[in-house]
Amino acid sequence: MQMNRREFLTSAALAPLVTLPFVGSAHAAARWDRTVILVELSGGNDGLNTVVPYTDSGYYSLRPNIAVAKETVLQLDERLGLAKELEPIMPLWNQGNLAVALGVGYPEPNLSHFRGIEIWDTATDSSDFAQSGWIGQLYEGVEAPPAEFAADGMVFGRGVFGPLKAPGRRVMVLQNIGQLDAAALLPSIAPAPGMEGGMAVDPNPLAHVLGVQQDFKSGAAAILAKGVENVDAKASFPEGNFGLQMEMAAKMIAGGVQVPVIKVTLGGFDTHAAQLDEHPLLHAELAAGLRGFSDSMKAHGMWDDVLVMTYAEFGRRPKENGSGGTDHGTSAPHFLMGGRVKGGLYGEQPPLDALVNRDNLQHRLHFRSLYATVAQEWWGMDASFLNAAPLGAIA
Amino acid sequence: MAIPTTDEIRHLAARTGLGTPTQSEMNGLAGLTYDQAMDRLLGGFTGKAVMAPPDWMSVPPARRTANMTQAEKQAIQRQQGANSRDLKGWWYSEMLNTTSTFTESMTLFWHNHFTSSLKKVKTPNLLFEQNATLRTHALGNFADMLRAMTFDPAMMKYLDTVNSKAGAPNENFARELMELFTLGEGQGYTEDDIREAARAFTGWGYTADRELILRPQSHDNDTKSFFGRSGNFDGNDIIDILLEQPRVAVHITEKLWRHFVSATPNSAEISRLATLFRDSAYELKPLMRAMLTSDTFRDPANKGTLVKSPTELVAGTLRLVGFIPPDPTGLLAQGRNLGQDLFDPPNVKGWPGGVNWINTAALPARYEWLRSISDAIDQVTAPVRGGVNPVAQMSRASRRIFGEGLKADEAAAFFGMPPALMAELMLPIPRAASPGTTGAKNAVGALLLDPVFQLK
Repeated sequence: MQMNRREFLTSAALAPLVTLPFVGSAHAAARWDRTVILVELSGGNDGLNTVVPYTDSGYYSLRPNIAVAKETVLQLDERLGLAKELEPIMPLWNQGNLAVALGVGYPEPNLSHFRGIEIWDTATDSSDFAQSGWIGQLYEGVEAPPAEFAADGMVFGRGVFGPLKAPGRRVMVLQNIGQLDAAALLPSIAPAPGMEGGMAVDPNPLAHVLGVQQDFKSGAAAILAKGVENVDAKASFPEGNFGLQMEMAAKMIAGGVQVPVIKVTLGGFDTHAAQLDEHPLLHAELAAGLRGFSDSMKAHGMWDDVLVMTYAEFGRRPKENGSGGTDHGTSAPHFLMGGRVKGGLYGEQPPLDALVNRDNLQHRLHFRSLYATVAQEWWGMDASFLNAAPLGAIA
Repeated sequence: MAIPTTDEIRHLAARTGLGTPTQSEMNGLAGLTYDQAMDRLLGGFTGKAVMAPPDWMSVPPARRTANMTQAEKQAIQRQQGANSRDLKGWWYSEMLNTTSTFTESMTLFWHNHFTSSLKKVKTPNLLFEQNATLRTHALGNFADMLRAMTFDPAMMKYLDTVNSKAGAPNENFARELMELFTLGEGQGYTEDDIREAARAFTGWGYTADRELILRPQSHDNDTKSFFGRSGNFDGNDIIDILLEQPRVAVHITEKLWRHFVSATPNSAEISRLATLFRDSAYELKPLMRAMLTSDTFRDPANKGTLVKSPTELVAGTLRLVGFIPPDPTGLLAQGRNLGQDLFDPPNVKGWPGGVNWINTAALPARYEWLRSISDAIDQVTAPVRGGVNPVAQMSRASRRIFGEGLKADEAAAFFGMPPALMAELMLPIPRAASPGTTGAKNAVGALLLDPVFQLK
């Protein structure tokens, strides 16, 4: 039997890495016709100034200089409201397509950017380690996307694989669609025997180079075959890299490119100082990009086929610091949106009068519940390895 | 003592330099023992740049003030943008013209350790000065460098030390000081240590002349508890206590090992080298010498096991072929395309490096740039008409492409080599592609476009 590079790695090389208990299942095939857009809010979004507890006097006393004014919030209910710069996504809330998961975090939170995002990316407990990201684990342990797909996942912007990191996975990193033209110039070089590399984390650099080269050629061919460069997104996107990433995601999906996951990133959320200068701009950019994407999907009749989910390494400290900013914190709210999303609030807002772990917010919802929602409710896969209940947020 | 094979010296020169040694660098090391070559490379370190500072460094940087008009503020912003590009170009020029690529390689390493970003710091003058400070200490003493970086104006702005006040300290610097700069994530410090250290770093700032000051009214003068000790510590005390922790030497040694030796740290070796590093009071030359003469480093199987960074690829390749663009600002877009925008690391942890440099966006961009060099070589080395000096011809042709940028002696030495020797100079291990498949029209291009050229 001839194995391709990916099969070879998943069957043989990976076995020792997998520590999580997977249950081999007789599940129906996953819904690979559905795509997830993962939106990383890099730097750690300040949740309290995003979903604002506008009736809580504790909020205003913790933040005398940087609180969001009560009269400006866009009300979600009688206690919580979105910062006004998020206005472009309010229609999604009103249509019942925006779920807001409150108090998302995990026990024994780590306040490092880098260890924090590693915990989120690999879905481990705070003190455990895993080589592969949670999507990679899902592919390895439950079901992998069909081989004819353009890629196992795409990463737009800076090429950090995060949840998609896993040996042997075909991950397309793209800055813009024009880059795909370069594929025609690249020769195919078959890796030497014994050097069948996997591109995502292959430790052998030559095997890695050759694997990337091969995956780029095949991925680019699959994408270009759909004429993606000529797809009209039928929506407008904000200036800047995030808008570009969301527009590319829209074009890929509207063009019919087969890919289960697209990861995009908006950075700059590490607002230690002068937060009022930066954070509202980030919200505006985020909301305009998300709105452009939903407009595009609706215009193409594909809003029911996509699920958008935000995540970040942590939230921020409830009490402002002396520089008009906020230091690293723990839990935060996150968004899920899409045509099949059952809008509303999930989890509960952590109380400001019961801070824990040195003045930080309690978490009320494990982040793995969000992942279980994606795996089980969205893709119809066995998500038992995540050991968390899905939200019940997908119709 | 045995004279090492050229291969071994090439490995040393590639790893300590900018990924690919030039023919003249190799000539300079010819006939030396391995230890002598090591001496030569370490001895080349001066701690100073060869290029003059940009003109704007002689002028105090303009500062935005509250009573400026919008147009005045925008004018400052435009100037900062122009100077930022100039700053990045300046460093490329330094890398292209230096006589000690080891100095630049070490400075790049520290730039990726003590990170600071123009996006936040904004004033290019501060980043230029930080770069000069990093270069001064690059192969000097780590403890001195740590102290200098702690109170470096660009760093103080990047990690908010300048904004940190008693009563409501900013934790940004204190956290990264322990997590990234000294101990490593989760290595023996607590969240309380971060908070207490943050208190010690309150009240520091710098004047318009970039002199360090401590503002008494903003500094926390109460007792702090740090690593089990108590006292009215200030920032200097925190650094002293950290430097007493054995873990610091381990963390720094391991990071250097990953950069210069192998992506797979050998714990016995790290432990041996870290002890040596600590025993030498954080002197970097003995550490680097021991690391680069270790059996693991010299193991033939260790050749070609690291990936060149974008900066190494661009600067090392141009040095190799002797094409030195007089205006290096054109290289900035290359660095950015390939994933490394100097002075703008993606975050405080810097560029992840290693195999992470190579993904489906970066690899085609690397080949595209190398193909443009290969095409330029076609033009520069086009057949010589009868009687014309080949170097003169190359100069003329390259002037069309690179301006006045041809380093005639380097180019002559390189292009005059027999093809077999060229492959040995350019590639760390045998080529992976047969020359005909690379799409290059000349022998040098076929080597540039070989996947193995990505490695060092």
